Amino acid sequence: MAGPAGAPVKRTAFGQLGIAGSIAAVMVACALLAPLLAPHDPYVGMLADRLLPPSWLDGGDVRYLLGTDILGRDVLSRLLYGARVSLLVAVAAVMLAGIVGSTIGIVAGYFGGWLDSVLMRIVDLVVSLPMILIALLVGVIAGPSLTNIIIIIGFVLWSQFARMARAETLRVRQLAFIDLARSAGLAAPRIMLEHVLPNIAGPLLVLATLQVGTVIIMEASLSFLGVGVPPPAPAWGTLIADGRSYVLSAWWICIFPGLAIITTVMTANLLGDGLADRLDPARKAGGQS
Amino acid sequence: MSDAASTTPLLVADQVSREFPLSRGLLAGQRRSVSVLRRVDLTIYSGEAVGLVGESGSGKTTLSRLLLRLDQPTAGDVRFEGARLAEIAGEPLKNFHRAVQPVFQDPFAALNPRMRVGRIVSEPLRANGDYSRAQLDERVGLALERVGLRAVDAARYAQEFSGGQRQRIAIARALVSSPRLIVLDEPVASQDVSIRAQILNLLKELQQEHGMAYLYISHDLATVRFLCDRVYVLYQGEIVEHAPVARLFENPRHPYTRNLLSAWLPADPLRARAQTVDAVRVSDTLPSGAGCAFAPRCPHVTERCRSERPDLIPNHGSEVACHRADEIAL
Amino acid sequence: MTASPRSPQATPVLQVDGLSVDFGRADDAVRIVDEVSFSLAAGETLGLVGESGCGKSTTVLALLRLLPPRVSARVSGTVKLNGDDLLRLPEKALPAVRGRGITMIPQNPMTSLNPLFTIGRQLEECLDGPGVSPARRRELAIEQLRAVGISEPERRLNQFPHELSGGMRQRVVGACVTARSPRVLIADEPTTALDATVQVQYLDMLKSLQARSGMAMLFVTHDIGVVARICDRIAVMYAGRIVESGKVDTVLRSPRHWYTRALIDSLPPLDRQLDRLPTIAGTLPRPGTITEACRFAPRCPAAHDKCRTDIPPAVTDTDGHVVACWTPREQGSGQ
Repeated sequence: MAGPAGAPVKRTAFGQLGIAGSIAAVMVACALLAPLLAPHDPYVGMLADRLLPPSWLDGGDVRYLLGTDILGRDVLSRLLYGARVSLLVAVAAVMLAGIVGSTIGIVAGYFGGWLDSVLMRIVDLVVSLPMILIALLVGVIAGPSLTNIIIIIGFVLWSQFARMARAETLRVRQLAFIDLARSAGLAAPRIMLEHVLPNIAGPLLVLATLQVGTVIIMEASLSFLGVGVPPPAPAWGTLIADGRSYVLSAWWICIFPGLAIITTVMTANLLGDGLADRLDPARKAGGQS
Repeated sequence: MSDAASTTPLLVADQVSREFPLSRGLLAGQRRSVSVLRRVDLTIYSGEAVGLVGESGSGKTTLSRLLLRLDQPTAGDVRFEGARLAEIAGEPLKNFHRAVQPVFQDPFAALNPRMRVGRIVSEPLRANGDYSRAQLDERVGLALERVGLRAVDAARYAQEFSGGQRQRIAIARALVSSPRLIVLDEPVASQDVSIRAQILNLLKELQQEHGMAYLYISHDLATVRFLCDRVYVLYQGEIVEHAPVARLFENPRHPYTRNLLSAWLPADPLRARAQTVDAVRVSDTLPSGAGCAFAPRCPHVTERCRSERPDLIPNHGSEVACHRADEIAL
Repeated sequence: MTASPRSPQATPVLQVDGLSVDFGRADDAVRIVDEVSFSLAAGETLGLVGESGCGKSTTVLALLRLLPPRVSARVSGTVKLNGDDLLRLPEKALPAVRGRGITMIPQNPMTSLNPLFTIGRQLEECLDGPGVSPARRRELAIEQLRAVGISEPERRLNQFPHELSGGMRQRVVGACVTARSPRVLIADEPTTALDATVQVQYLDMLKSLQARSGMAMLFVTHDIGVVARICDRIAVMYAGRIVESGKVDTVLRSPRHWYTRALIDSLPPLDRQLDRLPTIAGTLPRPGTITEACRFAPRCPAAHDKCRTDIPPAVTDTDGHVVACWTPREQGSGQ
């Protein structure tokens, strides 16, 4: 039944992917080009201009499109620079988690047996740890730093990659080309790298994309709690934390970083869903009548 | 082609058994297991085509995995050129991996969808030696052309080919390292009739040209007759009959073999309708393990069959595991 | 257990005329089934034979109106079951037709019973219908089990599928699909998942059910041996068209279409060892390639210019043997 049924499905998936991809591209561009785009220095404020509302409101100033904070720093500039920090943390932590988790998952799934049992019990353990508490503890002991937060978040997330990589490896493991590679005498690491990884990369990529959204929120929560990216680096979570006391009088200080977080997470989810649609059913097309 | 009996056999299964644990109990007490192969002897000499016939659940795929070193027997040995397969390592192991190549049934699962055909076909070479890019390309090209594809197909992905062409790719891959034995596990079972004939002809030609041995595993008797010199019949993990191909098909000795032959339906309607199949006795009982595995289904069963397992012994040019082989043979 | 060929009776139960199936939108539609016609009389068995992609499964799905709804398929022609055109029945009338009119037998009888329910419960579900009391249903279930040759049916009703041997499970499935006495039973590759020894038994069971109920059977298969054993008539499909049809004895023993001949010849025999199998050159055409020609022409040993430009019409001889070929093989030049 090789009906050309895929056509309409593909089109919507592409539309979703296209939209999400464009938004993501704009965000990354903003982060990269922050020094060029930002109208002000994000770290230095004019105390005379403190707590100005967005420019379109009464009392707003055209120089500060999204207003200023308590120290007179430009919210827009801090938002743009914050994108750099938040996206860097997100991408680095997801990559770390993805590489570590996928490796462990593939090894566990490929070899099976006691190795699989041991590795998966470790995963169960990690999953059962209260993430925020651990992060707080490590943050307090090791002190907040960009590297530390990446490692902490990476440590929490790898288990999900490990689980997915293992499940996908078990699926691929039973396909005949793995047995063929083994009968050809190909060593296990090469089989995992050449045969298993390319065939499970799709779902892992989808997971990674979805995780970017999760990490943004985790990083924001940790920064909000004071164990995240240390000030004065303007991570979005830090911005919200800074503005929380003024949320009634000067709402713009925390609302705009909040909107940025929401937009990023939704974009990441859309991108992930779009990728999943795109990568999954297309492969299964074709069959016999 | 089976006149090589004086030389060392290429591959031997010697009293091979394979059990799989059934339940992994929480406590390491009573471990139950299911016995898939029981004391199987099978020998393959250079240059001959050996058939292994069995229905689903007979253990034929398990046996092929043992012979390919994809799995280990729980008892008995598999020997390659006299050396125990479980113990070889290093250069002799590489030699084994070059010398013995499999072709599996499903050409869709057998070819990695993320790899180009050239990489798929060259894998047995790349895994076992240093070859330059040019050497690999040349040998892959030759192998592809030999199976009826083009050398330029090496640059394409497997999805771009039909089922029959994919099986040709799988055969090219098996051919590329100049093997001494190809283990063919139902290579045409998922192919269309017209494609099946082409592939069977190709396999026969290749063997005549290169003189490698085949182990041809199938449930399809007619293809076994076409391709093989010697045949083993496997029933529920035991070899019940072993004979030269003409002998087996013209004068089957074991009741199960006769049963199989009578169930084969020819294309001629008069003969197909006239075929009387020994009523496969529908039984409620699973074989107890003590007697002959075929006893519950056998029309000639006696008390002895249920209590005493028959050995595979020579009988009129065949080897048969049946207490009553002489009485029931016509 | 074997049946002699029956002569088709006067009024067919199932009459398919000019059935075509096009997939895709109008501008780039591909025709998977092209003007397929056949008829089936009560008590008769027709084998629809062909290789993958020839459209045999699509034909069956189309006439049962079971094509997956997300596939944009256009079905034309008529499918008359006792005079009602199935293709024009309203959607809500279909369930009744599928139960009592036409039933389809599952592809793998070994896995089509639910392991969680007793045999009795599953059989009674098959018998379910308006106006049948539970007690009557139980009686019918027992009767049905007895009909397919299962001993001690009363006890079996309370057993679960895993307590029965494979052969008995098949019989239960047979009992189930024929429980409501369908007029037509359709089987799409019903025995490919079965071992040879079990297959013959299953075929014979279907045949005996047919002898009791007088239903017509349509067997869709690639296995010519199966057709040879149980079918009265055969229709051979190639690339969406029926190229030859007629009585099994005539078509399989002295085929007139070159494709049928080649298909039969390419089967390896059991009673002698050939050096080489006759093959059909080339590969199967991609489904939907539309040509104004005989679709077998590129692979045909007897093809000439006309075969490549004009579609050969189906010609019927006195014996009901239909061949669509410009230069069919001589009659009787068989074996």
